[in-house]
Amino acid sequence: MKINIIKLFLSFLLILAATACTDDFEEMNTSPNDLTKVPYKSLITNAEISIANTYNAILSGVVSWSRYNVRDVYVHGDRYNVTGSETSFSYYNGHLKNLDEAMKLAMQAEDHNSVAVTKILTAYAFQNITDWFGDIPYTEALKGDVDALIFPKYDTQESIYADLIVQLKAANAMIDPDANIGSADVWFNGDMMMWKRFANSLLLRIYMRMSLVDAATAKAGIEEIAGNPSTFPIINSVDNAAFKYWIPGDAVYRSPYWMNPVNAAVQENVTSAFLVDFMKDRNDLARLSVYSEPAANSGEYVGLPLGTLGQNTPDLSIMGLNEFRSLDSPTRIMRYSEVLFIFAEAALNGWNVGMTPKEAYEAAIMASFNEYGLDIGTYLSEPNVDFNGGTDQRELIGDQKWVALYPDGNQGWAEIRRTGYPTYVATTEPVESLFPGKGVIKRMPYPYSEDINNTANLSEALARQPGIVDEKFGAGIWWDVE
Amino acid sequence: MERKLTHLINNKLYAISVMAFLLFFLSATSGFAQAIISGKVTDETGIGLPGATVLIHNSTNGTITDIDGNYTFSVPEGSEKLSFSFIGYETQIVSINSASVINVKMEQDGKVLQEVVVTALGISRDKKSLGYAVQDIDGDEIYKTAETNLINALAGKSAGVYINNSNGNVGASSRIVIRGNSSLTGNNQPLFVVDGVPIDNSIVSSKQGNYDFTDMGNGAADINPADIAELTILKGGNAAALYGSRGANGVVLITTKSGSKKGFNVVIENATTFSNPLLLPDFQNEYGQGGGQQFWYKDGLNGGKNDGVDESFGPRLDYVVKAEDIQPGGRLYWAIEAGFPQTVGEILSVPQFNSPIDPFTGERIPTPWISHPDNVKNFYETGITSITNVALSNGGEWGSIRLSLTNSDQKGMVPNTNQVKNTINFSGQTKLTEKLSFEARGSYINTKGNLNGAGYTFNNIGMQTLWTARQVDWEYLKNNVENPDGTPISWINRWHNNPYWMQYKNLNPQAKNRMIGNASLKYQFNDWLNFTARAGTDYSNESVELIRAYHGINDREGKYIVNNYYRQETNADFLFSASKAISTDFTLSGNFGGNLMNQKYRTQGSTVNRLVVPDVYSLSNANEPAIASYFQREKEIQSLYGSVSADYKGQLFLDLTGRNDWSSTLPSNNNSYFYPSATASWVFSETFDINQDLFSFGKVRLGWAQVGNDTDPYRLNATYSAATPYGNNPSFSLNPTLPPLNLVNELITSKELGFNFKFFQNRIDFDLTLYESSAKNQILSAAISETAGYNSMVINAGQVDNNGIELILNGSPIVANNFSWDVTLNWSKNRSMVIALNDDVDRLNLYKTEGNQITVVADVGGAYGDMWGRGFVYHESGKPIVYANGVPLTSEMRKLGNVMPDWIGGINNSFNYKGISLSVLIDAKVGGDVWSRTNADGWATGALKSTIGLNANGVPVRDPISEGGGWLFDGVFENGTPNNIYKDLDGFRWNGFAKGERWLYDGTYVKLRQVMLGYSLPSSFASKIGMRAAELSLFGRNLALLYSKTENFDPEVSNRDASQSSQGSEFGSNPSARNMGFRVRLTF
Repeated sequence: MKINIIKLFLSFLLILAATACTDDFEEMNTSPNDLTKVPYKSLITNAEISIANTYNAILSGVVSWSRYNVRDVYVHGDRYNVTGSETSFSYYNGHLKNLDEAMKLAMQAEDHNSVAVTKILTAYAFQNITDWFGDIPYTEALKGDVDALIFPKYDTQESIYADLIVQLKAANAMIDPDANIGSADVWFNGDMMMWKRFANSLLLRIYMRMSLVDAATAKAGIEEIAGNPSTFPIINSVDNAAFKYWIPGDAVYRSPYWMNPVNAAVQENVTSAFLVDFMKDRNDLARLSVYSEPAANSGEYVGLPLGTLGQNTPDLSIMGLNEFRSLDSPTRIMRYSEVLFIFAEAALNGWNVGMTPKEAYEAAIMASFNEYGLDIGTYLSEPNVDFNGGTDQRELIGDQKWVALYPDGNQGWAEIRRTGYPTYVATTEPVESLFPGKGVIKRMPYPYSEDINNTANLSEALARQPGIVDEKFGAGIWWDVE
Repeated sequence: MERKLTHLINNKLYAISVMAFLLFFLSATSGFAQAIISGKVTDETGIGLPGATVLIHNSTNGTITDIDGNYTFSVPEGSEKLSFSFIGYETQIVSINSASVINVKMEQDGKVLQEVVVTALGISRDKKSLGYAVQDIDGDEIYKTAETNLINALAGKSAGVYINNSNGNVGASSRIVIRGNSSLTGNNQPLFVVDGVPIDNSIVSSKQGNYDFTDMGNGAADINPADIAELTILKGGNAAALYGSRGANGVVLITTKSGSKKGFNVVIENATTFSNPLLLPDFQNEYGQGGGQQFWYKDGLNGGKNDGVDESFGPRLDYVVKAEDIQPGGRLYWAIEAGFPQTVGEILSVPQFNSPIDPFTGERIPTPWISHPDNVKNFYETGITSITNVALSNGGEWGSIRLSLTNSDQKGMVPNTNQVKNTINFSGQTKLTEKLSFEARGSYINTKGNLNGAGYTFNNIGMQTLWTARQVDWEYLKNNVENPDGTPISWINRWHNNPYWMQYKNLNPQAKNRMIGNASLKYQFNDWLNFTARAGTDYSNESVELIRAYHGINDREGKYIVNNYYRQETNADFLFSASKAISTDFTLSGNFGGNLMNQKYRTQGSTVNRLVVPDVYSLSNANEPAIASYFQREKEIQSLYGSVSADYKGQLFLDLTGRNDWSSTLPSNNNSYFYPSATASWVFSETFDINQDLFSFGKVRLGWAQVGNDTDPYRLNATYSAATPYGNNPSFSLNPTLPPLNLVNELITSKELGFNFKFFQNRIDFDLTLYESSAKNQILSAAISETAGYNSMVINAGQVDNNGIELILNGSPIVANNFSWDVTLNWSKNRSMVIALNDDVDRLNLYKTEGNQITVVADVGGAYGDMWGRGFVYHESGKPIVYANGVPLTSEMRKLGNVMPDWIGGINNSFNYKGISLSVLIDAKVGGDVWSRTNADGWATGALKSTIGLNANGVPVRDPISEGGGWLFDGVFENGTPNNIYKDLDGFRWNGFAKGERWLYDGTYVKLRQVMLGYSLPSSFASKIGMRAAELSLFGRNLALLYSKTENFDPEVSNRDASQSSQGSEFGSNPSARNMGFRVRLTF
């Protein structure tokens, strides 16, 4: 009996000893949930989707501040109440870091076309971010895994712009336009010529954005592109504009703008009174009927002033259904009309783009109408549209560019801040009484998380950009010279 | 509805079977009364000993004495001797010799009264020999008030033990922290060990979608209080040293009940509790729905005037129309313009959601605009919890067994919320041979219920109560839930579902099966050495569903989510135990053991966002492909440990322990770590010749310990997580946590000094503990600037020091023959300091509270749980500064408060008079701040009383500024002159000035935690009706908030669940419950 019991104990100890082996710890501690290695193109796919959703949202503060669409109930953001508790720098640890990883892996694979795509997407994202915030981390950013660089310094917007140009030019140069990188590129289905056009058009946007603070660089850059279409192909028709088309029937990847018609959120995209008035004033009913729906009650186009509460929704116009709220509504990343408006403004500056200001201006408006398959009719001779009708031509270009950019809030807001057009009469809107004397919103407030996680560098950046009032008013960003 | 029915049937069946048991045992035990013997059992001084055991010698048949020491006993013919026993006294055996009265004077058992407590590894020890603080709580103490979550039952009862419950929802989680938080981001809760085997006590909220949560409770809440014999809290590092990593935050040791060695007995208990809300927000009843004092209803989608807003800035309620109001330009111009006729002298009428529709025009006919002050209050029902336990036990020389069945049926205060828990608990021990014994214990727990929705979501009823316009008649909504087409009747179609429709249609069902059990073999080699081998497991499988019906807000086509959770922890261990008296004065004991712990966790979720057919909730009823997720985790720790204890003359004790862990979660070169502990204690009252009547006992204890800690699995490598493939293209994203370069184990070093003095023959017992601990190399995921490309990084960071003081005072001011009064007081204070983080980081962002206005940070030089946010800018006069326009300035980020309390304490008074006992427990928490979204949102929505009243001009704040109305902020201009710019509250209420500080409250409270009135039937009477004992008690818990500095919320309530990131904020949870009930316990 005793022997048996001792045997029992010994066998128990043996079982314990057999399982007590730390050799399999490494395997056990390897995540069964997530991969440690993935194809770099899958990172690009992820980043492209994220970018399209991030910088072209139609329900965001910037869309309201651009006075495209406003909200009738959630007016918090519309009324400039945004603070750093609501903003974030999650773009960096999201698509920007994924692109950074993809770029490193594509370089190892010597896949220059993919490298170029990551560079272009990165430049596109960074321009949007710096246009929101001003100075942001750039040269030291995305390097947490390199020497544990976890407190990136902020770079000036000026220096970031300079580098964006370098990166885009390099990308353009390394692209083989006849190549196709495959369907993992969910923007252009792998078509590298489209990427070349997009990169160079983006360069035009960047040059023009900085034209009031560094006219010489802008002039040289735009003239170089306009003068060398074979080296610098650009978006030159409505058909090769940079649009992202979605998968209409897909539960996850249908158009992000689609809204279930019975969903309450539909009522939050009320067309702004400013836009309705602007278009009515110019007899632009063709585009208005695309941009907006008539009010349910009256059948008329009725907009809502920014920040207004307490109106009856059926009395108001909502964002256009077919082009902008359908399952297949595309994300309009960059349009042909914008390229032409850039040429119009450049030509007006006396820069050589191979077109007169009037030619470019009218072609641009035409392109905007073409985008929706609309007949332009007599629009070009409307009193406030006619290039030679007496209105300041710079203002005309600003006005028309703004209305053509609908509903791209980021570009609309940036252009309003840069050009001051269309002229906005603040007193008509209730936001003015909330922040008396502060004027319109000038920048996105820095995230409060930076106050805690990157304190010293944020303080330095703020000291370098004096005149900011209440996080978001007062001094504009580098290219915004009033 | 069908679910409810099956639930009902199940309960009926259960109740019937319980009844059957009852009848069976009543008949079985009432058969054998022949001779009756009675008497009194007293101590040496002649005072009756209550609860002494009287048995027929060598049998298990017997009784216990009543409160006065009396007993009456039916003895079968032929019985020869009786044995009398009582803890601490020598057992006496007395011959019956046909006497009918036998009185016995008991004598104390040799030395001093022994207080035996269960310590680490299940080793029972004399409390006086311990060199560290432990607190043991009798199982009955926990069960007495019928708390369904045992953690709540510990509130106020133990020094240094911090309890946070979340709210009064059924199945709500609670949190326990001992001696403060030492880990910055870790769990900080103690390890729960049941019968020697660790169990899971995680607090898990099932997150479904972006905002929907279901609080699934905390793991330890599955332990059935009725089965707990004893609960011991091991507080410091020393006590926990042998449990390793997971004991670093202390250990809660639970010993479940074993079969009585005194023969067959049956215990039947029932406790029934009634619950009502303790505190509801102070709502205003002067203004109804709308904005700008305007409202009329058309469709609840903003089709009428402001009928798409759920805020209460509409017209005055119960307003009697005056002649001037309806003149052109009068106050009611908007109602007149809309064509609603008003009658002077009658209450204002407007079309409302429940106004009748004119059959000819199709328009709603205006109805009086009146207040419904109790709309929210009446929504809450009386919650009823009924816990029934039947326990059978038998035992003798051969061993013992116990089987216990418990049904806990909880019906929540919120309509259609419930939780039913059925527990079967078994324990048995027997001797296989002379030297080998076997023991097995296990519980099977089945939980089913429909829980509350939580989180910032329209499906959380707690949130709707705060956003309900004040005129809404919820009684009407109760009686008119649905239209014929199945669409809900709501007061505002744009934002909220009908609350009753929501509670009965949108469900959060929970179903859980859990098994906790272990089996062990013990071999006694000789009188000084034994060996135990044990294996135990804690296995659970839980599903939480989210059911959203067709036509609901946000889910017009319904929604179905099911998440399955599987958890298993297996422990296998062995232990050699030796104890030998080396000489008469010196005893040496030692233990050596090893443990293998394996932990597995899997979660699997499926979501269908649109259903084909209404009211069918299955993954195949999908209008689009189901979205699936799967996650699994495994970790293992292997350990060897040993301890040596020396006992010199029962006066001087020395303990040494050491443990080495190997953890799978650390890098292979750093995965082994050793940590020792040492304690000493000296019972100096034994050493010196002291007047024992005055100074009865004195002991000093000293301890030093280290405890190592590992981390979560899979933190060492960078990984990519998969998104849904785009068409045929995979989509991956780098996880935003930066993996560590070189990770080592955490190490907590703690020191403890304690004194225990007893005076006046133990009538005053004073225990004081001073401790400090220092946690270094904490492994944590630190938030970093996202611009680094990651939002967090895993690091070994710095040092967090805790120090504190714990005081326990027990006193018996009155001990008389029939009456006694006992007082227990406990008080503790803990201070946490963040001494260092790491080289790079000097401030860590731990989490954001509800509403994102407060960031809880760890700041070098600051305290654990510091709350940072933006507050006011103060003038030297002490008042906040306002801009020229009367709006307060908002400061930069700064420290505004702290989550942790300054001190906690509890005082319990208990009185015993004959068989009647009364106890009253009051507990207090001082300090600890809470950010209140209830107040922030309620101010903006105008639902709270704080948005009405008169301003300094004596005019209602909501009246126009031109008429002297308006809201004035109590501040000063930059030059110090008082602010005199009135604001139109309606336009101004969303202004976010100083939001962090403005809604931060000091969470201090004093609560009447518990009152209990008990009565034990005299055993003479009990035995007449065939019972050994009968007890009846009435109890109340969470009875009153005696003092608090908060408004509109109970400072104890948190916003979502009791997890760490819910601490320091509140919003949208249902109120805590005030519970009252009774309990009956019959022993046969």
